[in-house]
Amino acid sequence: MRRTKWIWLALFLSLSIAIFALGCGAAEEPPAEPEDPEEEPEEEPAEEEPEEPTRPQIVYVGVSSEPHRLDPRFGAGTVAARNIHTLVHDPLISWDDETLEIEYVLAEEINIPDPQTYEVKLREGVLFHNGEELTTADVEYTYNTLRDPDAAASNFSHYEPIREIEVHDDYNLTFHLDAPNMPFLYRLRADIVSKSYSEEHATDDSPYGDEYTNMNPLGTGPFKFVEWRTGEEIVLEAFEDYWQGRPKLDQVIFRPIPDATTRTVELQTGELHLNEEIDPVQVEITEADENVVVSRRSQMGFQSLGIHVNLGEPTDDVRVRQAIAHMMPREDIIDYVMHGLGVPAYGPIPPGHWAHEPNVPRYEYDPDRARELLEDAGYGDGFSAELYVIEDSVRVQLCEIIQEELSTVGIDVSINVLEGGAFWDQMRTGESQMFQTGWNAVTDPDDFMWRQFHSSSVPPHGANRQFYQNPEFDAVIEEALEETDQERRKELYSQAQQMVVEDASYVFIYHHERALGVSPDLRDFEYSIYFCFRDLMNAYLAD
Amino acid sequence: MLNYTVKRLLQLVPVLLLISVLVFALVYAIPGDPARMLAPPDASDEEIDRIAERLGLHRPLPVQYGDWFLGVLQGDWGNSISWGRPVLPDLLRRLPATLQLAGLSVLFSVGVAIPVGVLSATKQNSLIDSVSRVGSLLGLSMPNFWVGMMLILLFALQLRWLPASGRRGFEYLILPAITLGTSGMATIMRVTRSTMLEVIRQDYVRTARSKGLSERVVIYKHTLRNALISVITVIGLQMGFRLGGTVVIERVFAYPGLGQLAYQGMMHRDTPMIMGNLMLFATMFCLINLLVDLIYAFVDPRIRYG
Repeated sequence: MRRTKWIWLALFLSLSIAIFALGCGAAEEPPAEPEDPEEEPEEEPAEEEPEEPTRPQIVYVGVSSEPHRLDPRFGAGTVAARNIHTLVHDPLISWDDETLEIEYVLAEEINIPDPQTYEVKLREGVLFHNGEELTTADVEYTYNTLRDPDAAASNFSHYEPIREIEVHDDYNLTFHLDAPNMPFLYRLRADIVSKSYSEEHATDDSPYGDEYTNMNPLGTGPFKFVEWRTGEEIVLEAFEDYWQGRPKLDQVIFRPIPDATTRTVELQTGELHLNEEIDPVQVEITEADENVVVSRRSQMGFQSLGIHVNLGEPTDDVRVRQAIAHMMPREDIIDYVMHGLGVPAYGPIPPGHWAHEPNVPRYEYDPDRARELLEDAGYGDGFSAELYVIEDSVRVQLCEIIQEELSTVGIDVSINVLEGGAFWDQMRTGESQMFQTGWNAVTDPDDFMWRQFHSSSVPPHGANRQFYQNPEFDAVIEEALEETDQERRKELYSQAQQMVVEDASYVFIYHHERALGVSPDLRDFEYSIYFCFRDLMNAYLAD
Repeated sequence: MLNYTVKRLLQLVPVLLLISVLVFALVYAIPGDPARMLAPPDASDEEIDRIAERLGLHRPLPVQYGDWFLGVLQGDWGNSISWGRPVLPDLLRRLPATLQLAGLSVLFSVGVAIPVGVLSATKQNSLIDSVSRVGSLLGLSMPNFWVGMMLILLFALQLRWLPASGRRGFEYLILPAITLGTSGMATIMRVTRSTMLEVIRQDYVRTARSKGLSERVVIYKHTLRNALISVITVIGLQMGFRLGGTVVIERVFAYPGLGQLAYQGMMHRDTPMIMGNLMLFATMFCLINLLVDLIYAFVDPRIRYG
């Protein structure tokens, strides 16, 4: 009797082991090979390796987080999803990463007779991955979803200015806006989806078909969606009939790997060809490895310290804010916190951008000047202040340096580290004396100028969390919004930048850079801050 | 035995019900708003409110819970807030991966811990004993994500023996399972050793020895079997903790299991996702406890369930 019990236990154990092993076996399925290996982009060099066929053109990309919604109408809010959208879809326009000059993609021509009318002529003969031709109906449908308040699409506010979309024929349509709006041109970068495909999958619960298209996107882009094994990989495959020609790569496979060290190791061991982001701490070690090329790209943004101007003493005094600005050790922060990934920032718009204004008041690191300003303001003995920061090691270190520096002039800062949700809740209250935030991928200067500095953007309406309210500044950016002359716009934004810096409601710290890990075998690829891995459509793997 | 099992399974219902209410309330107590997380970082309040309304987050908490609960009764675990699609298929797809990982890690820790623990107890104060004691102390004190990192650097980067991340075959399970199993192994080893030492001093062991039984039989049949009850209790507890450990370990190894889903759910305040995950975890925890109680009866004939 006793023996049978043991037999049962042994049976149970071996059964469970068998189940584990079986399950593992099922997971062993290799990633699907491209169906058509005939088109070899590279001639096989007649070298002494006859057994080795030409290298499969499959690129593995390690990304830090997995996207949630692959339909660009609903997922465009996150970089993780844009990584996929920008390869599967095409927008009407794109732009140069550094100068931000407009380039046409699906649009063949755009006319702006006045700043509230945008006439678009579509390229002819562009095919969706299901073989249907792109027409203005698809463009109209895409933008109508984006601007439907009930759809809760991403970046709804970007498309709010559209009053009407007028379709003339299959290739011509006009966007009519509520009011003159020059920055709207940059909004024409939304990725276009197929109307018939989305409608085919629409249900009562998801009238835009997004419950299906979020998992099975379809566009006109260089790569078509094949498969998404959540948590493991997203497989994209070259689109044979792409209007700009078939990409040289056969497949692009995205692997979400949240841990930065693991991602770096996978690149070093050749399991990945691209690592979306290298942690600043690891940049030096990674650069020393000859199997990896570290590529640095400006994030086209800034990191800053916000100071509330309307929360009573002492930060309502501009001299106090300027004193704080003079205590910012930008170079040290870049060296020790960012490990070199950044350049000092004195204003919001990064160098290279067409609206960058170099001649703003520069608050260089100068403790004596800071003490002087504080004394003038009547705070020679210092004061105590609250600083809010989101839970993130780089940002917290940055704030600790600021805290240390400010303590030398008698300002006693207490740092409140808040986890993501709690931090944004705190920001929404509009009652944070100092806070650390940043901005990425500046497009039109109006984008963040309006939302962060215009009087009407104070919480709960926008991101002016420091309650900066300057009628003169408002007038300047209101004029710039409608101005069609590019030179004049540039001038207006120069004025605006000078005012923002002068009033020091934001202390600009650095323009950050992103370090990408690239396999030396991957050729002809440049990462874009705005369009992510889109350039993979030109890339190939060298032998 | 069957009666007992059925009774225990029925007892699960109120327990899980209570857990679901608690978790639901807790998720809402954490600061942070799911609509906020879904909106772009610079979104206005109007935009966020619109999203909240679409997700039904403006309704009173009991109504939201009731809605979720009725859905679960009908097999609909709700749509994930951040993914915008049903939660259940994703959970079920990832369940086997996590079970494999947790299971393998238990096999690893038990497989190493019991023999070493026994050896350590029988050869008390020998070199083996010292090494295993220091080893178990280390295993307990090293944080598991750090162990994972070190294993990756050693076996994936330096030696290139094993893959660092993913799940494409058995070899992908080895490093995560070892990482996950390390602290459990240490605990089980310590418990095995100390219980063995207690039992070894019992009169019946002396009797067994004096009647001339071989040392092997004395140790494995008389000592270990009597020590096994406390060891099994610890193993059961460890399996429960193991499920929690997957949340961290799966991220380090980019392993596509429930743990990563739980983490992402938390980060997005994705209530249906968190609820689904935690209900699965809670159920597994309860089932493991039941299993442990049943195994007692196998191991110790004195324990009977009526």
